[in-house]
Amino acid sequence: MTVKEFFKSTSFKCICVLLTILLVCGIFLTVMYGLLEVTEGERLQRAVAKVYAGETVEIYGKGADGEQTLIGADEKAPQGLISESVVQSTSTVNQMYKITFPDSKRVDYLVQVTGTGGYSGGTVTCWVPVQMNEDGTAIAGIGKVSIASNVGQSFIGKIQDAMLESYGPAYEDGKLYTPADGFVSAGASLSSTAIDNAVNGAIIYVKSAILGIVPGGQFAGFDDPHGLINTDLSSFEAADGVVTYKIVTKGSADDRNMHPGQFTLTIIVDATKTVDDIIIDDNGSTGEYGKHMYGINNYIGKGLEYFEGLLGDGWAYPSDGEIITGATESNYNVVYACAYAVKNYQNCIDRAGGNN
Amino acid sequence: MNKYKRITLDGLIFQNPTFMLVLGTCPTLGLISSAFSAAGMGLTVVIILTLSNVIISALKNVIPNAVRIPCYIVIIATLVTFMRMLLEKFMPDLYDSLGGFLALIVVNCIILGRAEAFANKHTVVESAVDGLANGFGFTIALTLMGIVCELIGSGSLFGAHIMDFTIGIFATPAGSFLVYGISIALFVFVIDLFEKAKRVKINKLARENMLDKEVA
Repeated sequence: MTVKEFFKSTSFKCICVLLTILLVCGIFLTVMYGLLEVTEGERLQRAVAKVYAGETVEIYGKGADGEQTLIGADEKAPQGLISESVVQSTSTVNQMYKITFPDSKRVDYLVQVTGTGGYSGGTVTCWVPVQMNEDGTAIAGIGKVSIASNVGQSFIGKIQDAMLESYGPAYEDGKLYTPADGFVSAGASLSSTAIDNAVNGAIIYVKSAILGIVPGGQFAGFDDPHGLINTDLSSFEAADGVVTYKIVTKGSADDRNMHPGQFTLTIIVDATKTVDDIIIDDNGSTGEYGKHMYGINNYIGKGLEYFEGLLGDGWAYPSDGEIITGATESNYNVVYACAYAVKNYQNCIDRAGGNN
Repeated sequence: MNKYKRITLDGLIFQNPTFMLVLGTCPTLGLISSAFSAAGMGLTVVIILTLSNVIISALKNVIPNAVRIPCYIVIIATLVTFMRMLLEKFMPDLYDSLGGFLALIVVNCIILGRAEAFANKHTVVESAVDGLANGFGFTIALTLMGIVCELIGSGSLFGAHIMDFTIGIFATPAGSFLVYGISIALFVFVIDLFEKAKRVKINKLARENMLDKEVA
């Protein structure tokens, strides 16, 4: 085929038509994107309208001079109070804005935070309004949470408004939310966990950045070789030589496997440094896996040697042994929590003696 | 029968894309647990289907046969992207509720099917009517099933609480599948009854004509 024949051929016509259509469509979409782009400022205004429906508020971010500046309604790229994302144990704080109310002295911090631990290792990003008390010295409550986006949460539509509105009335100083406390929407339990983590992340961040309270301070310096314990959500009380832990594990936080979700456990360790009692307050197993878990009654009366025997060297995930049952990830979370509780018994006693 | 009336009735009833041709099953099963999402998806498809039919019909003499499918896909993808931008800008709640199914309209077989089967063989006006009829046929089907699923599965209607009694499975794709199957069966049953009545009427007329001829 000569060059002249090629230019007269159907092939050439096909190329021309296809390229022309592509070009026209590309130009059309480019122009439309310019006209219809949803700016960050618009997203912020939408979030504020959802969270503070019917209320008149003023939004403050960071100006070019680093000082807090009032954000206008038509500002396209408002800068929040945070320069870079802050990664926490089960959440990442992306942005924070100060919200004031012209008619009162009330101050809120509206935090955009991404909670981990959702279905299949996914995340949910929420806008969390953290309300401060009148003199700004403590958190007074949580407003209505709004979901901004999610990654891989097929059933996010099942999250009920009632759950998103329930954080505020249940807020207590020092308390963080877990599915065990009922902050869960049926049919989307792992997505609910991610939202819990986002809300907790916002509380922890505001405490740390605004009030100067160090998160997880009660457990600072404790042995946790794989970082599986969520120290932000966990707590302990020590009295009369008995330590009562409320331990929350991170579940699938190390990305080894999509299962399970986080476990909430009450573990009592007595003066003999053995487990006196263990209760699973919230079972993070997904689907039917929980049925295959190793019986937790086996752990009562056992000490560190027993748990390290189950976990293996360095408390690593075991490749064989008694806790390979078809719910090995769930067993690993529970045994690890027991080992953590027993091993750190003396730390708790010492810290309690130090007026913890 | 007027050709526009025939095209309209085909799209809405006799060739209904959801109940008769069983096309667009993916968004149907994914979205009919909520009447709002179902109606929103249906209306979005109406706009995209009508515009794509019009554009493809207008360009049918320009687009070479060998590259017609890639050209259709590019046009449909452009329209879907444009609709996504519009919804995200002006109807963010609907945009959020449709989720990934909005982008999947690009490969919705109703749209590509009508482009290939109708728009590239008919005039612009006929194609527009076909797009509207099929789109509304799809919308009505989705909305009706959405109402049933939401009412039984969640006890609400377009988000408004109606009753406390619910059967959870109807809020899941499994329940949607059940409602979809029953709806197809009912729809086909009614159409069959209609066709049967029509045949009886025609046969009766034919017999009467024959008798008239014999008498004459």
